[in-house]
Amino acid sequence: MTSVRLFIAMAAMRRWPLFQLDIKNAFLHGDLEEEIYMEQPPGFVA
Amino acid sequence: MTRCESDHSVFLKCSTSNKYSYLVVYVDDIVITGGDYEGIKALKQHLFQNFQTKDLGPLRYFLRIEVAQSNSGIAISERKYAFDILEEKGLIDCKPVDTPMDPNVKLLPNQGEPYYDPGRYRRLVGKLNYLTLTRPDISFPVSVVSQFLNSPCVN
Repeated sequence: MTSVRLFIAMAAMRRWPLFQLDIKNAFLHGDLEEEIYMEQPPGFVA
Repeated sequence: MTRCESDHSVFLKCSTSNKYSYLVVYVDDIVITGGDYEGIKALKQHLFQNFQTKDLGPLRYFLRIEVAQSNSGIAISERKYAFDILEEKGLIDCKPVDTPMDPNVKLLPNQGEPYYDPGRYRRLVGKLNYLTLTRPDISFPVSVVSQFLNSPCVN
């Protein structure tokens, strides 16, 4: 958070542009190396 | 792009013309700034190509902080956040004061009845603590009320 404020202050001082991006689907970008098994929880009805 | 040693959510890159571009990341939210306009352009392009990224344009809202940019400078506030706190606690109609607390009042722990819901007190103090980011004028009262998080009393 201090870094965010620092960069906002620097941008104000030096007239830098400030941009914002948003990554869609956070967390889903890594590749899974290990084998994963899943099962439905007991009592699950589709 | 190298990761900053002292804050691992900050990344920086120096261009051949000795200009820097900076990137701050919080989970999936990214802020980019710096004097290297070409580098920033290339960096954004790189992110678009490798991730599904949405360009939100100039910085407006980050971690509950509203950012207003103009030619004369940048203003930050937590206006909505402050209103949400007031509304949640039913204090929206209260009169504003210039001095949030009397510095001469001596508050001591365990004075009076224990407050029925310590969690509520702690959550409110936590929220006020985050509000001090853009409201340093309430820092002193918030630090005083933070001293009683352990056993909040009615006094």
